[in-house]
Amino acid sequence: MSDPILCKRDVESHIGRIVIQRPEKANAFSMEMVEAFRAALSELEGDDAIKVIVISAAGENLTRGSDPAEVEQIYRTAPGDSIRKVPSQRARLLALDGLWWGPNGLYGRLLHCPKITVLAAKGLCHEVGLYLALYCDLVFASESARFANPRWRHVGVDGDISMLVAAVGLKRAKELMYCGFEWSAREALAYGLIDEVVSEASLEETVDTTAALCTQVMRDGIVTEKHVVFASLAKMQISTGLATAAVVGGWASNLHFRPGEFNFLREVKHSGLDAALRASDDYFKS
Amino acid sequence: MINVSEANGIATITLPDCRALSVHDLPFGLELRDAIRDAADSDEIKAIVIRASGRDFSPAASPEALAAAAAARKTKLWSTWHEAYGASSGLYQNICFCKKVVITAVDGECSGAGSLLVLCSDLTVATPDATFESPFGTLPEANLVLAALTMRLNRAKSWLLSSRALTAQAAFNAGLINRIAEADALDEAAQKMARAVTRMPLDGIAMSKINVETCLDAQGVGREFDMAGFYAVTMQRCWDELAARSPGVSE
Repeated sequence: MSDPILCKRDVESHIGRIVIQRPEKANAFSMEMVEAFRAALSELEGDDAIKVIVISAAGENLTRGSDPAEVEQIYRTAPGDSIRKVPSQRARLLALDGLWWGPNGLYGRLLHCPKITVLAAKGLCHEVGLYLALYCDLVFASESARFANPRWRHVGVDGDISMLVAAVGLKRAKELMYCGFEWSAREALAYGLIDEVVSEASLEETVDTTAALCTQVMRDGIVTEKHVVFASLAKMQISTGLATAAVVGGWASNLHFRPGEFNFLREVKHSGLDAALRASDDYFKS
Repeated sequence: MINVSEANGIATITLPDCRALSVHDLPFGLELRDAIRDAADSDEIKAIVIRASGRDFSPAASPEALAAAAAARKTKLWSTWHEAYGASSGLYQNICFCKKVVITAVDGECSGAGSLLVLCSDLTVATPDATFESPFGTLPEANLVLAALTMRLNRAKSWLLSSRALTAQAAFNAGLINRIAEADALDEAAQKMARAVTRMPLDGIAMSKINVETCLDAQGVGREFDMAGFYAVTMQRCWDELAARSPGVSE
């Protein structure tokens, strides 16, 4: 079985690649994959020969999001009384900060990557896929790409929203947040989430051509421009958004559900993951 | 004047139109604010729909009516006007920072307070015939930071400075509204959006709204609302100058 995260670098072309390859699970992100993705970022960021990092995926989808099979497990492996039946609040916060939102979390790392990051989006670009689109510098999508965060329907909006609002505007962000809408590639382009829509067949070529173009920029120029971006993001309070995300995510893992409301975790425990996913689709389509 | 109905987690607030709000009618503003507050405080409600029974959601107020409103505001600025419209206890901040999801359904002309309700609400559905006039020329409590976050700065400035109303399509393209629906399908489109909201857990909705509030606070939306009284004073000077030049308008 191939590694679910593949890291490649080509010193000649100055392009590094991170390939998500777990197509049999629609490229769902496991904790192991988060670690591997961060390690790949470290390797490529530390290589002075690399100027551009291309992020792509095997199979039909970019990713369906974090692995629903690990929805509770992520808190049990975090420090802070995580072995108890109900993980402590600090275990929840530390897990979310460490995996995703903190300075060393996947999103924090990607947002502050000193190389130019280019994303090839296709098929399901849900949850993690939506955030990859938000935090990469350039995003190309095939016609098949669909952007959403279905997780928000289960627990509320528990991630960073500052970057989403900055990218697409407040009201557009809210329709993704509150209504569970899914945007087509064309809608995502019109709203400003992505940079270009291309055919499925030409996605790879378009991304590679753009990446090659970006490598024409001198190294000092890339790092300088990226740091100008980081300064602007700080002024735009995006770092506040990421810090808030960990706190809000900690709350969201602890929700009280009223009678009749859909409790995904309880469904997983009672009926298993596949049945819970089907029940979720039925509930939100009804 | 305001009718509130509740069903299946949705409070639907029906106004005749927003004319009274555009001229800062205090009882009307407080009645609408209280209706929003009551719905927001109810554990049975997850989404609030604001609609108008009239053909136009918010017809433009006449210059005479605006001048009279400005004159009336003079003596009440830091007391009742502030409480009803400018302060955190006022109508617009109660919508903008509401712990439930607020949806506006707009048909026909939408100017003054109607446009500000659209800006402050979370989601908006409008008919193809709807037109959106900037609220900034007449309402000191209009929030440019909110407009910039919603439409982007250049479009918000253009809306503020130009007297041209946006068509529904232009408002959609700018991100001011979320969906366009034919007039006979407008209410159903707003209710459909509200039903989607009600599928979320109540705790999740409250938490989501706090998450958004943090973002709005960081961007300065609250501080811009705090400036409303000072903008009102400036606007008052403009009306006074106009009245000095054309006495008929202010009387």
